[in-house]
Amino acid sequence: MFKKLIVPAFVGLALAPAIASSATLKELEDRINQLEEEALIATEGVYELSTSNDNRMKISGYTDVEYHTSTKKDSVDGFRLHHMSLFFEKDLGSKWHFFSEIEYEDAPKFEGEGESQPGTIPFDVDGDGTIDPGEVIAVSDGEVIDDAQGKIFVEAVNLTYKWRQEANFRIGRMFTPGGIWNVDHYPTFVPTQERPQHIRKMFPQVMDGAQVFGTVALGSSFANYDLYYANGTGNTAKHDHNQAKATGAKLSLIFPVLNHFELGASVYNDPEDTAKNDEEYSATGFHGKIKAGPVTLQFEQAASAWDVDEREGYYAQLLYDWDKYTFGVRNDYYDSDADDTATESGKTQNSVFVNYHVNKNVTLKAEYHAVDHEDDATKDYGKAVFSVVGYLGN
Amino acid sequence: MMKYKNICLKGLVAGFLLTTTIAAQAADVAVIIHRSNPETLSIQQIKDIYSDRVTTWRSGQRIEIYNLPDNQDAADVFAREVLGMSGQAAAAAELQRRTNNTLKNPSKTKRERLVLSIVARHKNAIGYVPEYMIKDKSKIRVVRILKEK
Repeated sequence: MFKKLIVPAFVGLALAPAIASSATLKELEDRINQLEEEALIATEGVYELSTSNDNRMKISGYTDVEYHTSTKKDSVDGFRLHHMSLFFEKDLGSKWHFFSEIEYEDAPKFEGEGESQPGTIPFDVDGDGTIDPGEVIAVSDGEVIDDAQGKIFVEAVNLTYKWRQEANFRIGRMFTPGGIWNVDHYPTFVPTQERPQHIRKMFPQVMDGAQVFGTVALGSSFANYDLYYANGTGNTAKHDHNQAKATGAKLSLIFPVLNHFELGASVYNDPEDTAKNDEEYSATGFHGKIKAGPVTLQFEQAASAWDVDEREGYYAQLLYDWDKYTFGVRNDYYDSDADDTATESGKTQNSVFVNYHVNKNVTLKAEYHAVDHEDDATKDYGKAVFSVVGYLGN
Repeated sequence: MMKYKNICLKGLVAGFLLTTTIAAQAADVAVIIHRSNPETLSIQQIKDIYSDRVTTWRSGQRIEIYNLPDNQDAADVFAREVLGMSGQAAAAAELQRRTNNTLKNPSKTKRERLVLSIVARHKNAIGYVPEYMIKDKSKIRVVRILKEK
């Protein structure tokens, strides 16, 4: 009897660790399975969160502060709170895209309760940064603000339908596809705060209309094209002042040599340009961008004409990227009265500059521009701009 | 004494081999697409996709492009070997096209494991990850291995 009890007891004792360890093993297996399941759920969660994030409204922008100094007579050195721009963009499904930019220039301030008489006030209608003679907008009673400075400008607001590589459609306000700088103009990405003189004086900065654009493969090369139909300059977003519409095109050929090799041309025509007293206005230009290793050469030439005047301008810019620095030089010429050979109205601007990219969001710039007038009666001068540019995005 | 010398020597050799293997592993980058995607891609074609020149597969479907964060070594290797610029410069170039509103097919930036997971699920996706991360090729296909020069 004793044997009958003692033997199973000993066997039990001998097997106890094995039984216990098999129980532990089972628990561990269960735990591993549970953790695997939890990891799978977490992975799915991260995946869903990540992909749903892609479709959210993206807000970004940039800001820049400058210090200007010049040897020009009567100029005053000082700071300029140049831009604070906000971008809003969102994918509206898989084919549609919304894009907008609201620009606050020179820290705008508008306030006042003033009464006004109907009439006109000077206004930078074509958005080229200067108020030319005859550039006015109509105001009605009570519209004039007592105290105003700076500019708030809806620079872009458009909807794009992405049909296919060869053809996409855009409607709204957009940058006029004329040359390179007119579109690639943001302080975050251009090496100088001062733009080449002829930019925005040939092709309008923005246009309100419709555009078709795309990329066509030509063997191993590519052709990027833009075609557009829009209100001419001098017309607000609300309506056009005449029946004539502006049309234009830009074509860039990209060849598979070096890092980037692009050559292209742009044309623009408005049969009745409101900003030019309803005269026919046309502009043409060509451009190129060649990048080989750390060196980038970019150049543009453009000419424009309407009944009473002709303009022409060009620039060539050479950049060298070294670590966090970008060094550059630029030769830039503009003549606002090119058809008048009797007067020397041309102006050359030779520039030298350096950018220090602190990180991908912050760039420090120093630039010097030597301005040389063809007209000997006008005194040449130099100007320098030191700036900090911040990109407000991820 | 001789015995210890041998052990030290073996240790050094093993350490060297291990280090070089890990370094080689870290440097190689695999460009991946979905298993069912029949495309074969040259470096130039990958460049055209990541430069926004080619936005659709030959099937006509829009390409879903995935990038790694530009501070990762694999992103730098990819950018240098394919686009001829640093990872940060490549990210800045795309940011410029996005800001100018000229970008036709924007890429999405995700972590390595997520890129693997997404490409394995999306038949129109293309991405790249460090090669050592690829253990299972049942749902993805490696179209190019990029070795850091």
